[in-house]
Amino acid sequence: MEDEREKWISETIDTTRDMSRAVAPIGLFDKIMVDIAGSRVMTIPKWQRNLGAAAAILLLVLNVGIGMKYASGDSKDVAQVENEGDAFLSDYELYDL
Amino acid sequence: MEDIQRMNAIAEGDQNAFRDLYAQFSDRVYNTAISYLQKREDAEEVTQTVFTQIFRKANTYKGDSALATWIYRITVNTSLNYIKKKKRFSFLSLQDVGREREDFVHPGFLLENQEKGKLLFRCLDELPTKQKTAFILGFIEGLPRQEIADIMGQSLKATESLLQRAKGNLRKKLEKFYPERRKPKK
Repeated sequence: MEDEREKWISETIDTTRDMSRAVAPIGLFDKIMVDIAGSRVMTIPKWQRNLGAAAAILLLVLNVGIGMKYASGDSKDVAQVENEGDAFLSDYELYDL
Repeated sequence: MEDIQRMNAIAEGDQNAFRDLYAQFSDRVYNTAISYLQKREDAEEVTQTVFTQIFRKANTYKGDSALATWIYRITVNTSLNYIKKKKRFSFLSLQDVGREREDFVHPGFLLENQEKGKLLFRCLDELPTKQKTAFILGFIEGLPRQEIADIMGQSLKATESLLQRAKGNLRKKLEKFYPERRKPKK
């Protein structure tokens, strides 16, 4: 059993002896020449494309939603300008005004 | 043509000299890259990067080492950097990168060796970087020990020791898979 296992392990490692080299894909040289010429040809992975599309859709939906809310004019969440300095002075009564 | 003359010609923009260099080294670069990355698309990207660098940095080749050694060094560094970069951004990936690697079969294996080869590469991927590099260059690329030492910038003795440790660790890791192989098929 032990010998059989050792034999199997040795055979597994020795599989590299009969290996041939992986061959570079056809057309790669042309891609490299385009890359060198300045415009790099890149394959964007599918998950990156999906992530980009999802982010763009999310941004669009949020912008449209906020735009519609603002246009309807019934929002109480609209930011308002406040003099923060005054509030600070008044809250803590640091100085007599 | 001498290595240094070839590289000077490439530095001056000689596309024929570059094409010849590509014909001579592309498979070695691709085979090394695919052994590290265990994914065809990634190996293609690394090969592209390596040759782009060779073209752009041709003038920095001074003939201190053999041209093949210089190219292998660029390939090993580019592959390792690519793995680092990929690990850094792996949290963004929706795919299971580990699963993909487990299924990887190096295209150079004979059909009857593919199952064993798959396990070997799975274990190889878990080795420390230096041991992995020594094993890939020595047993997959089939380079002489001295050339591996030159590429890795270390002594011949240190390289031999690394290869021994790499083989020893692979044996230990492969042991785990033996019972799995012995399970009867349902």
